[in-house]
Amino acid sequence: MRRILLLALLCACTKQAPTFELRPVSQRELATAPKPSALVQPDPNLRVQIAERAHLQGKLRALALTDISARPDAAIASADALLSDAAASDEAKRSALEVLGGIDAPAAARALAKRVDIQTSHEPWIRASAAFELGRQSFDGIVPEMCAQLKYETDGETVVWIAALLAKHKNFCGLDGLRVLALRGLTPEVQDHARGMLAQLATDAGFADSDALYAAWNSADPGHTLPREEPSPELRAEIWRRIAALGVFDLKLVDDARFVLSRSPVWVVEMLTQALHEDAPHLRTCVAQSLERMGARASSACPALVQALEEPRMAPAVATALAAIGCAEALEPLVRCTQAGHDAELRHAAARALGVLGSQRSIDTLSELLAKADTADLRQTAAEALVGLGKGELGAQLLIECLTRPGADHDTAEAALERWLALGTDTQLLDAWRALAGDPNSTPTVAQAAERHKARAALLSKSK
Amino acid sequence: MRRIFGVLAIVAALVVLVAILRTPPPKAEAAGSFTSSEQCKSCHEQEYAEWSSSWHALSWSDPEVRALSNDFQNADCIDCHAPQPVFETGVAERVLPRTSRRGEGVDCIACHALPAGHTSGGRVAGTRTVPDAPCAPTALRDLGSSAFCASCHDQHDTTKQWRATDYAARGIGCIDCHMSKRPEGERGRVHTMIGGHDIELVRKAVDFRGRADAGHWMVEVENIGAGHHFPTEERARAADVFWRPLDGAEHPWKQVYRFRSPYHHEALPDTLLPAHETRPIPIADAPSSAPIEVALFYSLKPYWADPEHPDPEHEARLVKRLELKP
Repeated sequence: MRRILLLALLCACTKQAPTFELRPVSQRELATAPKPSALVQPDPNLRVQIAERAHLQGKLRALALTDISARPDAAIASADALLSDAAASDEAKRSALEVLGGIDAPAAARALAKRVDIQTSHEPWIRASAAFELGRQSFDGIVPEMCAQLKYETDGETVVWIAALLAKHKNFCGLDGLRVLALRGLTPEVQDHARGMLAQLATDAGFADSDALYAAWNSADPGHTLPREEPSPELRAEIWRRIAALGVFDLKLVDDARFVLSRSPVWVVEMLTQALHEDAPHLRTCVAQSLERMGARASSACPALVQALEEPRMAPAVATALAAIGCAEALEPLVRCTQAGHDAELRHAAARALGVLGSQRSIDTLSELLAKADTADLRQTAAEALVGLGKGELGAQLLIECLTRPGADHDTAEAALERWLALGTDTQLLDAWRALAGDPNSTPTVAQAAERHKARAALLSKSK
Repeated sequence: MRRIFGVLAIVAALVVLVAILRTPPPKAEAAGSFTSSEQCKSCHEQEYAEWSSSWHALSWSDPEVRALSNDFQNADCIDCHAPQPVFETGVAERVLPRTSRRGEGVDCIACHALPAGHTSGGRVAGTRTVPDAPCAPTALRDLGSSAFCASCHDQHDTTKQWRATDYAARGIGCIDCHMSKRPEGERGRVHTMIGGHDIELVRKAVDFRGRADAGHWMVEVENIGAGHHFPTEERARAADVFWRPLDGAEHPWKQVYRFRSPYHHEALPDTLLPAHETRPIPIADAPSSAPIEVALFYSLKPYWADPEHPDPEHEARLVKRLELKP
């Protein structure tokens, strides 16, 4: 009996600490996700009607639209085919875009979204018109695709209409583009348009001004002041497709997916948190990077991310994400990750994260790393992180050495020293440092950059 | 009494056992605990010197790269410019960004280090297995394969382009041109890994010729030596054909054609020249009755300081030049 008891005790006590569970998350989700249906065959008669409608005005033009829309599937296919025809006139194409905008259906929205793509439509007016017409649609499944277009769009008017249609679905990632256009749009008209849209979006969302809306969008929105919308199953499926795309080889697809996910509303965080358990290592690492790029908006992911520090392949990316999001509860786990015995990659990422999160505990830990870390590289990282915490003087000497030490990260040391000097009171020294920057209108050669590092190291060494 | 001591001893042993089993082991130090490529220098002096002078070593610090990536604020660029060891992220898999020793760029560790506990038992990949050497190299064929280079260099389709060529069919891979064998009597390959920065290599890639055609001059560019498109890799790279009259007077260069894969937002056609193909380029403004000078220039960055008046002689590098006379 005693032996059995001892055996039971042994079994209970030796049960392993829980490991970080991995599974094929996105593929399972996508297996049951709704798929877009294919377009029907275009109808040549309808196509003629759409083209002829271009010559009508006023009520007749509206009536023709009603007529054409009576067979929505065929009308969508015909308008889409007309838009693909290089020989079709601009008037006919404009009519086709209006027809698509007038039919509130997923297929019409998808056909319009295709025309907002800069690779499909080289003429800016088509992209702008398509984005405007898309704003009349209620289907939200095109939101990720439109968000991705913001990465590439060069036409101001198109950016304004994309931002408007995204905001309609409670995605305010277009505010960034609008704010840039309002200040630096190519023409006064574009600047006015952007300013007007910013004001409109703020009013519609219930904010006093667009700055308040922008601040709410970029925060964890603790007061739940942002308007929210329940995503459709199609939109959720699109988000899962973007998550799955994080695991493919193609750099552009990965970059686009990270861009879209990090600019999606906060309901996406729950899906990304699930995907941290994805069994494909590249995918789950890129999920952590997507959360990182969401910043404070991903704060609900903090507990899951702290847990994800246990997974060695993505732990460095997780540490970076914890810092970017500002997860205060990650402080102690990150301090532990800087200790000897952990992977060098994680130690560096954790040290940088402490430099972002701050606190006396971070300063103490980084100071210890600066003094005792076993590699020069990690000591440099600690010195750079201390600059971020206003303690640059602790690591300045090391950073000066890093400006010229072979193998050191000269440019990052240089940037850290400049930040440190800018935070200080010695304006003469800062001016002398900046005077060594070289011609701001030309890119230096490798040799010129090395000379600059050397001159700046000499300047700071002399000034001590 | 002895029984009590026995039970206590067993319990104590159990407590120690449990403590050992429940404490998570320290995470394995990746890449065989190498912390810097400097560690390779003492035994591999020649390779280290070659690599130090290579663009791989400058992948993090090259001012051009830093300018184009906005000092790596565009974090997507870090993956290939300071990659984790390829054997860790997987041969022919996309690389992932490093957080440590970024200043070393694409270094010895990125290509040679094996993950801790690699099945081969070695610490680094090499061309020979030497278990007694300090770095315990293991011969791995993957190291010299084009799939290995693909982890970074296929991000802009270069390996894909190569796979479609006759070179791939003949078994001529990346290292045959970019990492040539050392001279007879010396072992190994040169670690400078020359590419687009080496204008002599670029010159070997193309043939440039001209002729009169229906009253005007016409030039042809043929990809005779690159095992991939010309130019290839990063979208920043471009090759341009310029011409000017050859009448003894000073004339500015006029641009007639650009070979380039544009950035997505530029909505321009992809005009890269595939391997073995020839691109005829008519010079409509140049009647074949008058002599002209034609040149092919190669650029590492895509934009001219003044797009209206490009100055290829100062902003690009001359690949080939022709004088066409009636």
